[in-house]
Amino acid sequence: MHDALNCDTLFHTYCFIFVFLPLTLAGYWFVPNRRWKIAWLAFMSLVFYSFWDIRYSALLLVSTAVDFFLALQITRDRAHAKAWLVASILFNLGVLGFFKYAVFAVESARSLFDIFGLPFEAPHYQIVLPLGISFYIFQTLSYTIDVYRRDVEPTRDLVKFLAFVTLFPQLVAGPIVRYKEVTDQLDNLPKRMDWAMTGAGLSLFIIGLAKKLLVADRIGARIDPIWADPGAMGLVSSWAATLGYALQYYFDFSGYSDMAIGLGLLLGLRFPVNFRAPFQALNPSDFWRRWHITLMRFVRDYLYIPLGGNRVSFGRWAFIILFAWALIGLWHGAGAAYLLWGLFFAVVHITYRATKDRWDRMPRVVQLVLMQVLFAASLPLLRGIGVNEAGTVFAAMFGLHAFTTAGVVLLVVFILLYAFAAVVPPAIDWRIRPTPTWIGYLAVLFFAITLYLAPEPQKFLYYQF
Amino acid sequence: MLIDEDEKEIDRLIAGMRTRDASARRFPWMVLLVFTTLVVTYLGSSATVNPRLEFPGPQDTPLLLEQPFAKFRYHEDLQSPATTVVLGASNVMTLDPSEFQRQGFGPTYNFAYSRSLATESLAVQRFLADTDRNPGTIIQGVADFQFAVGYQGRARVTAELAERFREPDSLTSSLLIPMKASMKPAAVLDLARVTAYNTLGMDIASQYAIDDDGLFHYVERDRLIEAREYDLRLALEQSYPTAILPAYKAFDSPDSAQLEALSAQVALAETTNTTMYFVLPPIHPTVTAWLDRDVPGWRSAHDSIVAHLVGLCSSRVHVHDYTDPSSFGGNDASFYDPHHYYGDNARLVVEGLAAGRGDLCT
Repeated sequence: MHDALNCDTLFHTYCFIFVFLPLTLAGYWFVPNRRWKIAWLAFMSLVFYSFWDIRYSALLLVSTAVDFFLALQITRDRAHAKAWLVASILFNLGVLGFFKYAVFAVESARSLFDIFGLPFEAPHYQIVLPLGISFYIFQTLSYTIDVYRRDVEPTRDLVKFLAFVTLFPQLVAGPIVRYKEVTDQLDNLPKRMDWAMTGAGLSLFIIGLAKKLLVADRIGARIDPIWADPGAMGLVSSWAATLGYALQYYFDFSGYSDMAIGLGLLLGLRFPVNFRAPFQALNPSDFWRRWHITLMRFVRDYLYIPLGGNRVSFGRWAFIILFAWALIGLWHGAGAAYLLWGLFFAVVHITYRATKDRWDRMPRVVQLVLMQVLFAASLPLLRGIGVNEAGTVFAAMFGLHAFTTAGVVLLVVFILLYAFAAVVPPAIDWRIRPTPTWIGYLAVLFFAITLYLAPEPQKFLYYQF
Repeated sequence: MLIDEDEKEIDRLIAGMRTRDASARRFPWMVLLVFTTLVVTYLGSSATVNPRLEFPGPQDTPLLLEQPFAKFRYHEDLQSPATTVVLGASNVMTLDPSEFQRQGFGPTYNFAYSRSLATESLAVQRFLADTDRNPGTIIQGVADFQFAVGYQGRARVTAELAERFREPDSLTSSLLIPMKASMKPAAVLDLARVTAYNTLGMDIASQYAIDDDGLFHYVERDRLIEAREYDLRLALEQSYPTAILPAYKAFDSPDSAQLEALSAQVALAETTNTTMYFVLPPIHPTVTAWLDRDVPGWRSAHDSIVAHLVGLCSSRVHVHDYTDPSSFGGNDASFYDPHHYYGDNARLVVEGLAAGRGDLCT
């Protein structure tokens, strides 16, 4: 099936839309028993993951099993609960560290040794980053922490836990769903398909597909040639490229999240919202309550608040912010540019808090534009082009390259699109009614989407994070 | 449990779907109707013969596979047969049929498509002869490096299309052939794209267009050139190490099968009273200089193709080696990349052929 249908762990493929999803839903709603539904869900989720690389399903299974048993140990052996929790944290961060950061660490050490002219004998090596590892590791880690905190009862049902970890709608790129958010839902799965949930799910799924294929990928096709040569960017084209990338990022990632939530609803499950109109944000705190909400919630609950949150002195708070954002930056990618991106937002947060009274007194439109410019301007660091190339883009953005009007039309279009995104509410808040008109819209949208379903689709920007 | 805000938003969305107004009650049936229609369309389109999926190759991008399909399709749609047909690969795709008409070649159709080999041109020429659409004149583009032994063309695609379009309105009938053993999910895309070709004359996704007379436009590249944003030097520098150099390194002597195909084209032309113009289109001089530096043997392989063509000369056969733009009065600027030219150069090639400029057979 894999070769013939070009199956992939992406939602915008023929295989997923016309084969995998109907088959999964048919089996899921056909079996009357809750346990069978969960088992089917876990099985199909593993099939979905194996479209990427079946060998890494083993890592997923091991990670699931380890945290399943450690969580049980935390409850059984309360006297040593902390030790079991530490074991879970070390295991999860160790796996993540090895697969995601080992090469970065070795190469950074090599650069450091080179600077001081010291010999460094480690060979150059490469490690494949398992798909979705940054997401599923956080999920299993949050589970053991929640069990330790007695926020949730550990499950004794391995299949249910496996279904939670591997749930295919959110396995690859979130939202980061926590066990306590779905355990009751998995225990009370609806026996029959609910038309209202299905309608809402289909609507969100198609809207998400449209965001990805009709907007994000189209923007990408326009800006990729500009990003291909940062040295050739001028003042206008560099801003067009960064604003375009901000829009592409938003429509791509929020589209994926809409699809994931929509797929959850098709299965009778509610997933947490991941985006809430971030282009309407007026300040950094507001923005990060609207962008990748589940990641920010994770950092807040498992790092920021345990370290003291905002109930500490300004100096300590600033240190916590720097630390947390450095980790958020590195979560996005193993590289100096990602680290700098995180630190940039830490500085933005600290500056905002230090000047909060003055910031909040500015006209709302000024706050909004300033916030969006800050976000867009940070993106060269998140583009994956490295620090030097990002520096070249920053130079262009500050007018240090030759001035040309190339890209002016794109810039105007992107500003208009930004304005559009700033006034339109998130899809989840749309007042969707099951009228023939709405179904007509969806059908037209779906037909347009099929024009862009390519044999080799563009991957999501958060794919393989 | 989700946090309150998420719960409320999702509940509100679902509650909207439970609306009890009259039209909303029909919702389940409407959903079934719409999605059944989509699934039936999909299954129906899966039954089409899909060149993309039947002949997948490592380099077969949608652009490459859709071109021959579109060229056959549009040729079928011609109101009256073309008296001149351009055959060959991408380096003659920008030769404008209206320019041929201005130069006295009569109604012209550009049948060239990327990576078409001499054997494929022969198949198309036979197809034209067999279907009583034989032109009086054939302009045959010759891309030298494509004569390398083992060069990957798409002979099977061409043969299949030539067979399929043999009968009038063969596209419609091809839709009805039974579903093949394997499913063809990408067929729906092709169906949509055929619709796009027929209604808009343009591929929406990849931004290129083919006119009714077969003339190819790369919409985005044309726009960049128009806006003076196209960087030819960059295009040359980027494509040389990745595409040109490897292709020419593999081209140490011409493939005898391809040379024989050229001879067979001339033999067929004799039987159909067709005049043949063989043209080796221009290559950017910067690139030929680089090739002289890096692959000194390419010139002798190139010259042996020319020598073979000169050996075919007759009153109905003309051979023009326009590799050097100065040979037909061309310039260094009207190029997209090493082998692809437009504007002045495309016009001057046609003028040169019409005027017999540099004809090696005279």
